[in-house]
Amino acid sequence: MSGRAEASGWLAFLLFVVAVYSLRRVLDRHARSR
Amino acid sequence: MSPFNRCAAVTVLQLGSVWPAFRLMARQYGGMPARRFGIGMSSALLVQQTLVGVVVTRREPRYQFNPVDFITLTRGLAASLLCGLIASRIRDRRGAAGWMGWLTLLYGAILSDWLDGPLARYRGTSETGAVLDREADSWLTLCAAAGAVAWGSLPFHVMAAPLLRYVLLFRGLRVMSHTRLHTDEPAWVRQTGIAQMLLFIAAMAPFRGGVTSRVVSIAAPVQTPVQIGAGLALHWRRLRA
Repeated sequence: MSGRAEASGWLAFLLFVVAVYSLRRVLDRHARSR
Repeated sequence: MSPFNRCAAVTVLQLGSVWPAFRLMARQYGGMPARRFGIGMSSALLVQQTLVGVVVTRREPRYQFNPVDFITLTRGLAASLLCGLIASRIRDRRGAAGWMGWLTLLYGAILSDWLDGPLARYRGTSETGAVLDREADSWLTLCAAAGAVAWGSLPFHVMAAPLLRYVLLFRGLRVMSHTRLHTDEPAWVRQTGIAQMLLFIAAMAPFRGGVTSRVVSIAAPVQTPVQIGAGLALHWRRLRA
């Protein structure tokens, strides 16, 4: 596996983690404001 | 509808998801590995759903499963898919099986695990829901460890900490309830758990190359003793409290 493919894979993983974490924070804020 | 019957209905729905995965395996790897996959995944699913039904019925006979519980139970589905892949004996990290296992692990360990907590707080939590959540986490961690050994080239000892968790759980349950055992967990429990799951995710990554392999080979021998130490420290802390 080339270094480029490996880096792209981890970048996509990181974006996924950031997206889910942001969604979690939004949901947490909603839960607390109820 | 009793919790057991509700659980049976969820099981039927989840069993329906075995078919597309079985078809994909059959197309890519042929009939025999696909049959082993289907049998492995269905068996794991039936066993875990039976346990869920028994535990929920015994704890709260009138318990009503809510949508958050269904999300939690899909983490069990993810774990059973990993069981199916292990049973198939296909070791193709870069191919269809590897991608299916890795993406399923991401769903279970990140998407489902991170979102069902706030959703549960939004709807109002229940003790039984919290038990299901913790047990789904542990079961997925054990299956991920087994998968990382099977096609992620990790050594067997990475399964020691997830297995030890069950030994300590059953010892702890002799003296206190499941809920009390997990009350006021320090932050490092979650942090070490995330580090452990990251190791399994890295080991199973279909795009894993030289850099990832080097990081994994350095982290694996460190992570196991740290995780075992954390598990034992937490156990003693609980019993002393």
